[in-house]
Amino acid sequence: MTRDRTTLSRRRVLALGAGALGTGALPASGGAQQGAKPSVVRIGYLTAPRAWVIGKHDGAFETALGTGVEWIPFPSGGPALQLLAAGKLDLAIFGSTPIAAGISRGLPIQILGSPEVVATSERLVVRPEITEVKQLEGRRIAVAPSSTMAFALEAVIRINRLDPAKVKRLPLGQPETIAAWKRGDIDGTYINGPFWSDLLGSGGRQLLVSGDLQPHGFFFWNSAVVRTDFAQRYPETVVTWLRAVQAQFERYRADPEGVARTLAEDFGAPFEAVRDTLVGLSYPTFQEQLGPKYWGRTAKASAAPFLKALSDTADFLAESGEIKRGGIPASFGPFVNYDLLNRAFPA
Amino acid sequence: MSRLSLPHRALLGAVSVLLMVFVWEAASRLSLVDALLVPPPSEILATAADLMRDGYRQTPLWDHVLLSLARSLAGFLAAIVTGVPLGIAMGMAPVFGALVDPFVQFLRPLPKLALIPLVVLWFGIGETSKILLIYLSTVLTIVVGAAAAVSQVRRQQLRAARALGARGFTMFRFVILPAILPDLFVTVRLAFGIGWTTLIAAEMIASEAGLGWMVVNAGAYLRTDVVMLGIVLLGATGYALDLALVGLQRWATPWAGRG
Amino acid sequence: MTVHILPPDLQATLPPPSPDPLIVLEDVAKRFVDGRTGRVTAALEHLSFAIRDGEFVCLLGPSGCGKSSVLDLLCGFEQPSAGRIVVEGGPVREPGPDRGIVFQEALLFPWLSVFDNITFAPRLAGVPAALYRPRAARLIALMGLDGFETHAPYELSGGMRQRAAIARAWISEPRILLMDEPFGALDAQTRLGMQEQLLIAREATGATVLFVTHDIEEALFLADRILVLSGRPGRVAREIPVPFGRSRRYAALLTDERFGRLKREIVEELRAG
Repeated sequence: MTRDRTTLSRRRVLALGAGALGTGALPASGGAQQGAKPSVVRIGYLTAPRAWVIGKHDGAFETALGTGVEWIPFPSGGPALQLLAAGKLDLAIFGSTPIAAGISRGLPIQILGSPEVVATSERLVVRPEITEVKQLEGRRIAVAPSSTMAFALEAVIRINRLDPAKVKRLPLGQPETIAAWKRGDIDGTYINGPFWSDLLGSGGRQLLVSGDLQPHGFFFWNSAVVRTDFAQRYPETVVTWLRAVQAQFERYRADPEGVARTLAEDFGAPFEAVRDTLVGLSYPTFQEQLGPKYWGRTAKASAAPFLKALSDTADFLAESGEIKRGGIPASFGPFVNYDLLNRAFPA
Repeated sequence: MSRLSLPHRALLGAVSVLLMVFVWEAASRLSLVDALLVPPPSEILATAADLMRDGYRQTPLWDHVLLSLARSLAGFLAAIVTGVPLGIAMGMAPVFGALVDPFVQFLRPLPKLALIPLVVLWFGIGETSKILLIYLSTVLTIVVGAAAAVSQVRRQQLRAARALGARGFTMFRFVILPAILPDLFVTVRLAFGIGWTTLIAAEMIASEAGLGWMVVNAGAYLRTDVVMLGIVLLGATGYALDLALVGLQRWATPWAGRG
Repeated sequence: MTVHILPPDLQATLPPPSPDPLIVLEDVAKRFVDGRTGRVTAALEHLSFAIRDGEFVCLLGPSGCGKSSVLDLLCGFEQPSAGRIVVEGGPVREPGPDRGIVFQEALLFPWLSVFDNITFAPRLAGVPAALYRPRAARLIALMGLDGFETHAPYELSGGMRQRAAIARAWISEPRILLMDEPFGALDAQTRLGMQEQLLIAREATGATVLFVTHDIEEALFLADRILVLSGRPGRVAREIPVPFGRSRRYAALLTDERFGRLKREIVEELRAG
């Protein structure tokens, strides 16, 4: 008798477990009619101070979208790709380097402009005795793996014709980088805000910022991204979301200090560091992004600087062995959803 | 229960693995599963060929395997060399055991990932930290296992030895040590399994090579084929080492389980 | 099982038991305190007896009467709570190879060969091989273990293991052999062979034997004298001299009418106690 009961309960537990797995693995299914609305939109954001995330605090996105919003944080672009691949995210804003990697791997996502362009938010900070880039040879530089900063460091090496074999690049997360700096294990790091404030406060020298690389044709930015099947099923929701994102940046432009203060409280970082981090990004409007200096208005404009920059990023990743060269598309144009961008922000 | 002969077992094992690989490949070909999420065996095989030719991130594939092996074996051997004597001391001297036990029991179930920031702060980002993390994750299991092994030695066996003149060191060297050897092997096998799984955490500390690092790094770029290959290599290497330990155990303690 | 003929050098007739007591217990008590309840249990109370040099004495009693406690005291594993114990003219402080001890289980070291088990004590004491080798060879022959020297304990039968354990206890030529139900775990056939072999070996070495058992026939077959212990706390309830002389054969004993009479007497005694 007892034996029968245990098998039964065990079977029930197994069935429950399988059921839970099944529902987890199923993509959100529903009709694909025009004007259809999802009940909940899952928005991913980087766990760093970001101006548009101010809309998380007062329900601005819920109001604009007319749906529930689930905010899903990720520490860097790598995990963002994994969340998108697993179908756990609908919309997100993160770095150009992981986006190039994801698309080259066949991840079904589409690019929606570049509302944040890195200028001084990512900086190369080194020991005070290092005064020029040439001196990086023979030094140990920490950088977060699969980040725009990793690519930026490569760009620094290439632009200044340094011997890549002589610059020891250590893949390290930001908190570990701070610890390694304090111990004197590293000579420098390419790091984002607000983390550099610690290093600059303890004697670090700022050698350059990512914006300094733009004249050499290297751009680093954060793109808005949507899962392809979500864009096909809920185009109106995506359009509304893009306009809402734009609205958050308007709020920031109107009151940078106020937004920085709210985000600093939320992020648990010093107000000044958050303010400086936010200042370190430039925020072109979507109208500007669709201009000739960024993406253009059609996929045919493959000469658009940001499409070319994406191809460069992918080439760099293939060269360093992160992705397969065979997976890189001839042009990233088809992966930008110009249709929805034009609908949200007509010329 | 009837027992299967060794070749019979090996044959059945091989058949089941081949069947699984076939079903997996078929599921991918028929698009039942997303190849981005679960790359088919043929793609993993192609990736293996690629990496054997070109290496992964400028490092030959076998160097990743060897580096991981070297790291885990270094941490693991250090854990045996220090953990076994400490555990035996705890088992043989109850007062010492009672003094040390709270620390051992506190540290043992602690997730070793939580120690990474401290380990980096105290020991830096070099090999020391990686090996230390593997050491920390295995040594406590070995200490507890060795102490338990000593307490498992039968009182009557010790009495028989005392009656034959064994005392102090001779008791330890000629009676207790051989008596706990079979249990120590079990503990060491268990600890090795734990140490091998800690490899990924250890190689998250500023690595540029190693199987654990390869899996984590490839994951960040959605290279699921490399991730799968890394998992297969991690599993196969761990399995091979466990088999080696079993072989060593059979050779060193042929009496185990038959005393 | 075959009974082995004594090797020629051991066949010389040994002197009969001397009248001097080799082991003396005077008014001995052993009490245990339960660590949790603090309750005191007496295993032995007012226990007195003496064993002469060369004597074979069986300690007979129901289980739980404290027989094994007597051996623990004589071995030196435990100290008496009261009374006096004298062995070979002095007190017992700790166990050692001067008193051979055989337990109910063989307790051989499974990692050592039969030969290394038997020679464990002399090797530990640093006795030169030239000294213990001939002794070991004789004991191996005496115990019927020829050809098994290099075998591992787990390759032996239960009876052979126990014989190896006896040889191991005897290698240091102790004057006293303390045995705690050594044949209790063996089957009847094996036990009989072991008993006969023990008698021969004891004849050959002239050792004094204190043998604990709960088997009345075993005691009658082996002992020169039987001490019947009462139930807990154990005391000597009765002392029975066994009249069969040495070089006994079991078949001959069974037809001896004194055997049956003594057995009945002891059964009555145990039932009363």
